[in-house]
Amino acid sequence: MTRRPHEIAATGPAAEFAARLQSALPVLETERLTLRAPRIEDFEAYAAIGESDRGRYLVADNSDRDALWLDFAQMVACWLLRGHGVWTVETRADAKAIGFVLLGFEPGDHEPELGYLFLPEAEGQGYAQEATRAARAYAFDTLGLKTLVSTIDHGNARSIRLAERLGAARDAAAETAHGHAIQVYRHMPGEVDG
Amino acid sequence: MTTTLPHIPTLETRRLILRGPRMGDVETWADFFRSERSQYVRGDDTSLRTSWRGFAHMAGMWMLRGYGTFVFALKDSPDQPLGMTGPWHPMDWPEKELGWTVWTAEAEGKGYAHEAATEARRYAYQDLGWQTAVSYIDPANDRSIALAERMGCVLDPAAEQPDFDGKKVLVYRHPAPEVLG
Repeated sequence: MTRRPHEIAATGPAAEFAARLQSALPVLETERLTLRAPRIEDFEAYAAIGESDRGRYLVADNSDRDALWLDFAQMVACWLLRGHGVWTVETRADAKAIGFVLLGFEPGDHEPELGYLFLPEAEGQGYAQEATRAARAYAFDTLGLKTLVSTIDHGNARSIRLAERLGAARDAAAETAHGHAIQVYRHMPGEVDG
Repeated sequence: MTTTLPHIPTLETRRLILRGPRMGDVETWADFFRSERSQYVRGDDTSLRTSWRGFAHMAGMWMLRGYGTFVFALKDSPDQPLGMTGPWHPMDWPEKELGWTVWTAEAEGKGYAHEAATEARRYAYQDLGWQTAVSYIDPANDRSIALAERMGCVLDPAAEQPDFDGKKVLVYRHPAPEVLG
């Protein structure tokens, strides 16, 4: 899909200021991956995930590119408003954006959330687990977050499997608090090195 | 510990401060979003989650594009937001816009929006190097039309329409930077 005007990066002084803001965000390195500040061109990867069959877990109507854009923008804005937010995950080998890891918190959430979303072609190689572990360690060790959950749609088997691999456990009380609309997997600080 | 971001520029006018959006502004914004007063700048869904997404869209622009809307407040109470104004390019807009909203009735009729938007326009032209700017306004939004005209804007019927839930809007074009000097 061709990019619409609002999806194209600014130029001139605005571009320099965007780069300065982005350079203030933490960069996390793992064995094979870099978690870095989101940039406007990363929306391409986000939209590709959103428009795949996995996108139905992100927004109500994943054929609505505007809904995907609003979700991307709010994950990015979280850095400014809360001091944590979404990282773009890229491979160190070729600096290709393959997915996103989120420390998020928006109305409707009961506590900070650890989210992960990856391009279909990046699945099955342990990338999501590697990136999510790094973000979780940062959340507990550096940000000092007291609680962290992954909220997952019923039926999102792949996401549930990753939460279990990460050592997170289902929290029945939290699911009741959400009216059983979602499954809640709770991460514990002690599991950081899993 | 939270991440410290370099400060979004703070601008000052005679009575006002224009600063970056903050979490502390969200409640006043949400009150505005739920009220009749925001009818020209939103759809029918006034839920907290949707109002948050609107606010976060504005804040996210700073990170993604390097400019965005400022929250304005009185200099002596900078934590009490009165509204927003600034240069931005949100989704479905064919070109960059200078927007404004005044969040409470008490903040209306005092010239605050004019004072803040004029400074935001100066920032867009002088600091960002914009050569032109439009403001999109609902034809029924008399107060906003009056402000655009007070700022010297003229209707630009040839300009492309933004996608605003299928509603046709007025496109007011601001005087060019060389005209304002």
